[in-house]
Amino acid sequence: MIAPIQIWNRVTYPTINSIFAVGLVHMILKKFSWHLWLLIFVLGWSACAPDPSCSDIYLPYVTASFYTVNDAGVETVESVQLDSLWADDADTLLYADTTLSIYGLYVNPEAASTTYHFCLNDTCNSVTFAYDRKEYLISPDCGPRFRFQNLTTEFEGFYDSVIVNKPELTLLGEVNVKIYR
Amino acid sequence: MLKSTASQLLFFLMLLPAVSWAQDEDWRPSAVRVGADVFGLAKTALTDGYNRQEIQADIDLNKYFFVLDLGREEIDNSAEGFTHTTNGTFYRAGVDVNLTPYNPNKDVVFFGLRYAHATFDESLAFDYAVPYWGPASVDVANVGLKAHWIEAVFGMKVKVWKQFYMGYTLRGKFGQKTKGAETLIPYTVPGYGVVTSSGNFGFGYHIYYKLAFRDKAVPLRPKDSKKKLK
Repeated sequence: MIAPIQIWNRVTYPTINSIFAVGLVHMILKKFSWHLWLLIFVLGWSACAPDPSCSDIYLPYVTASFYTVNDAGVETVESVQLDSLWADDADTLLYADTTLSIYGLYVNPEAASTTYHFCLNDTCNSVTFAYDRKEYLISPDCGPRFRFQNLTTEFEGFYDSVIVNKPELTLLGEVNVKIYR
Repeated sequence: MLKSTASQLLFFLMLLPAVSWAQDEDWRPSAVRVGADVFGLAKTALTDGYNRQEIQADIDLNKYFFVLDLGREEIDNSAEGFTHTTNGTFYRAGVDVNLTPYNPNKDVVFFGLRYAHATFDESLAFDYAVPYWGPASVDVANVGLKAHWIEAVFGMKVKVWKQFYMGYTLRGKFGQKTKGAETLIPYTVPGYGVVTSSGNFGFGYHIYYKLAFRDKAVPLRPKDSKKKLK
């Protein structure tokens, strides 16, 4: 009686080529296991490196707030009514007929300074913001951005003073410019 | 500041041989080992917009090696909406200490320091739209930027066949400074990688050929040499 063939017990005999190949691989693994593990670790680590965050703290506008100072020297934020707020070289008004205590004033990226006119009852105050523009790449996935720094101001009109509070246009901290009336 | 730190570190390493000069050891160089970074070549072949070639040479001086790396790197980070390219050359020079001077194969496990310097160009062009001012475009470049930094390196060089060696180098890079940038803030520096304030890591896998110009015996371990004297 012939016994059934059990495939899972089948014995195969290695050829000379396969012995040589296995031996070579074994030799390489034995001699370079350090190197191979390290290579695998480095490649794996670089593949698993976290993607950079695309969030950006830099802003393309100046935050300006209006203040009054009482006799005791205490300053208070106050809302200011404007008929219009517009910039030189711009085609449109930024704000029209509005009352706010903090204004976001977009700077012109193509110029080294931007002059805004704050107008009420046909009278205007002008504030010029000068700044340094820098460009940078956040990452290939996130793309490029602007960074505006070293803000300085000049003003004309009836405001008492205009003070730079924070010369870098970022989300962090307080308003960039304090305007005292 | 960085330059003075680098020169102090290198000066310290160069003083090490002088400290033990009196011990009657063999200080004459015996071989120059020349190698190429195959990790950079593999990355060049596998990554679009990336091109790096790097060669390395070292010369032995007792259990120290003076090492010089030369390389060039081109990186194209362009994606939809912008183009950004960096290309330039770099070199690293420094000293390695052989931590296995008694190895019969003259395999080397080393630790060392490098002063690194790169000269490169970088450009960025993109379209943008800032609210109120509308769409516009910008095209800026930095030409002839110079950067330098310090590297602490660790690695090994193992004899694989006759005069051929293979080995890896792990690099911790820190203290990077760039000179000459105008409005474009550098993103990548050839040989250094992405600019970060906290430093950077690097990896190299080299194949070397050793050009021996004289035979040099592997030194005996101190305890073995004492036995021999007895």
